[in-house]
Amino acid sequence: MPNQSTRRQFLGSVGGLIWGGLTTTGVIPILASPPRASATSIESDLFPAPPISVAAFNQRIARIRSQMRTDKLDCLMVSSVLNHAVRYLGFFDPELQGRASGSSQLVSVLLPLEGDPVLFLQTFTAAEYLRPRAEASSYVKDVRLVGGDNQKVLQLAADQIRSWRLDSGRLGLAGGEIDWAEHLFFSQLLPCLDHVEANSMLNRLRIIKDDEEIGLMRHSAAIGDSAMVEVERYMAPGVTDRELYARAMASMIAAGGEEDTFVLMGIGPNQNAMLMELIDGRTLSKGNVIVYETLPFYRLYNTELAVTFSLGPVSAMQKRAADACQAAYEAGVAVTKPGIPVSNVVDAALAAFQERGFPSFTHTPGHFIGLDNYEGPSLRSHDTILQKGMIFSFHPNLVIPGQVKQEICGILLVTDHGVENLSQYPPRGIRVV
Amino acid sequence: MHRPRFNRRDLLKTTALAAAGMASNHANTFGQCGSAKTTSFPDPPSEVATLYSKEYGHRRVTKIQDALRRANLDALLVSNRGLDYIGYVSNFHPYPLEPGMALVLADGPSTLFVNTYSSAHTRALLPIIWTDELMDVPRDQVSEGSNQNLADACIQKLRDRKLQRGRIGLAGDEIDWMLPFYFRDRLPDAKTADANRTLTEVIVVKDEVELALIRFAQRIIDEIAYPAFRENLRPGAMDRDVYARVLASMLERGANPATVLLFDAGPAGSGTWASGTSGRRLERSDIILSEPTPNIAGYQSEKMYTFALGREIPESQRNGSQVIYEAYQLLMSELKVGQELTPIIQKVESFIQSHGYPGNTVPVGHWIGTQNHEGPRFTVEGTRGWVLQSNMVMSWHPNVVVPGKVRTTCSTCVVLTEKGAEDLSTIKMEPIYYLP
Repeated sequence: MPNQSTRRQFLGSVGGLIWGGLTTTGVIPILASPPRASATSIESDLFPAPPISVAAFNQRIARIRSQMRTDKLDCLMVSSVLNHAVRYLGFFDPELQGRASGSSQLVSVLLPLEGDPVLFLQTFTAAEYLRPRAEASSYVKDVRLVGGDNQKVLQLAADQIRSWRLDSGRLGLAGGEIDWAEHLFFSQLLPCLDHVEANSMLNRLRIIKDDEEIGLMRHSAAIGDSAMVEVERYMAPGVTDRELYARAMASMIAAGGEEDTFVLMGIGPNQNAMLMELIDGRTLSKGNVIVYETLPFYRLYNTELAVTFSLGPVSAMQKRAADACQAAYEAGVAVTKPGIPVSNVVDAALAAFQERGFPSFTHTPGHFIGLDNYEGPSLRSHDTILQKGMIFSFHPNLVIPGQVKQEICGILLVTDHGVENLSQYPPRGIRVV
Repeated sequence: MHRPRFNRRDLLKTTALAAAGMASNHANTFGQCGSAKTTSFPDPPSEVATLYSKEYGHRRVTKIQDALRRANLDALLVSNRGLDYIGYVSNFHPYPLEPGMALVLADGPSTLFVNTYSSAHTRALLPIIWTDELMDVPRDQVSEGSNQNLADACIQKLRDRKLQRGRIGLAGDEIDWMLPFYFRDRLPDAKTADANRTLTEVIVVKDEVELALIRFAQRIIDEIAYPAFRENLRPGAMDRDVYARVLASMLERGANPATVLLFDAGPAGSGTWASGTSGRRLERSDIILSEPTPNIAGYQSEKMYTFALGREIPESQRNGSQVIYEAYQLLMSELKVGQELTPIIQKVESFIQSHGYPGNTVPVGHWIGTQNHEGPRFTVEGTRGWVLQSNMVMSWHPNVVVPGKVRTTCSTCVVLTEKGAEDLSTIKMEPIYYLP
């Protein structure tokens, strides 16, 4: 059930206990970090360590291989340019992918049913000085640094498949971005290879989190909560959206949020049908409704927290929408438990929403989350059965141009008997500042 | 999450819509460093609004069509994942949840193919895109980020335009090399051609609107980020805190969420480059390589600084930085309109090697503007046949990383003019920027 603490109680407790305050005094917020994965080399102090332990990673690979056997796959190839599918397969260092320069490049992991996986890393520069970092930050020990265009990555992968004598075998292609084009490429290079779509298989595995992943996401949620407390304290007429944006970003980064961390914001009411809008320098004024969303990445795992604020009194229509979103949220949470189709959560929420006179949510009411912001199948999927360890972001929402901007959000972990919201921020309809 | 039309990095491109935004002087503003606090800093320039106009977009598309005709191409298909040449021809900037492709015909309407997040997103796109048509294509049923359906829709459009036997240029410099396989399968009579050079020859020469945006981005580096570094880089400071403050100071002053800050602090011999923050406190004698890359309406500039905390640094660092500084001076003297690019790159590389270093560790430079790395890589192969032209904007950063000895760069962005290379930064180049 939603936390019923008052805004004042919440700001006092969370702000006081967790958030030291990032102010001009330079005080850094203190969050107890989950233990780092065990060091793998002497460079572990210089380079990012894997976010999960080697034991957890080995269990993950064993799960993937078990599913590969079921699906009669000899080998799995997962490729990512922008999304994070390869992080699930052991590539843990987005900086090496050129992410920081804004020029992400192709990374592929080739996982045979037996034997060691190979990581192909197309890099900004394939200079050997990157190798110690690449090896220290991954559990995949066979790292191939690839310069030049990404065609070379796939050519090398094809060569590797040949050297394993799997070129007449069955290859699963996944990643969800360019694997559709890889099919035709491999048809030309390895004509005897049977290649099949493996995204659905991988998605089903990824949406169930182990204890270490849950710990990381719990920490990510705490970073988001703290930033939201900071934003709520700071929010006032006269503040610009840029300042508000910068405040949460700085808070999250100083608390350990990674480069992928970001913020979304929508300020209304206005004629825009979008919930979130562009940061454009506008100044907050009394009467504004602000939908603010923090999305911290902590050691590759992300959560999100969207809160709707009102600067001053709330209009009758906005209040109705806030109540409806809260009722929808609570109805969805009430039915969430292992063994039910995930679509039941959305159905229950939508029924409560409709009872309050609103026909449908404006945007999707949620999605599985973890390494990527959107993971796995839709929450409207009838054949996805909730299991312990699944985590999804649940955010009923409504936009009525000119009248309403509203969202309420929780990061829901499916437990043995029900659900736990990883965020401590009260999932309330609207918070009047 | 309900993302707006653009990802974090690309969000800026639409900042133009609100060019009237005012910088605030809120008393609790924390990202601003001391010197910036007292300095008035302007709003992003009016060119932001120009960039978002249909009239400007029409001129942009016409420029590309002219290039297609010169290259004897009937159409240009631009596809991307991490890079964003799609934005250059359409003003739509795809991200993982909203992939896109753009089709420009040499003679005929241009089309943007997208998988928008919702109908609200589609409606929001219509006023700002430059193409004549917008096709919102059904999503893949499994993968959020797949762009296969977009390729299929594009092929259908080419059929509709009677171009199934046409000469189709493929560009994007990323996954376009895969598409000939797909075209051979789905549109076997079409002739595909690599059109990356055709497109990038247009992109790397900037017009006045683009130059104004890049110059503003540079002002944020010089007048906001650099003072913020000088104020916050101190022995004992937490790396994340410095990073947060410098980044926040740029965001508050108009840099959009696509802004990037590279950061790498540690001993001279750590062997790292842009390794990020790690919750480490800075120490005396640390070398800090940090590069602010503010983004203004999709345009960026960059300058990587080599800072030293105190003057007690290894001699190997001092020597290496001096060599790179001299390489930078050599480079600047060579950058002249009409010169071939390849020999300049070779000359700088040879100079560094002649002093006992292995050469540049990361590429010595790149064109910059709409993306951080525009056009071909600055290698001998990538630059072959390229001649310097007026209004090319380039980032140059001679550099060397030798584990155990030195990590250093002299970095700046220049615009080429008939008079030579104009340094966009007003911060005097130094081999090392020493801090107390």
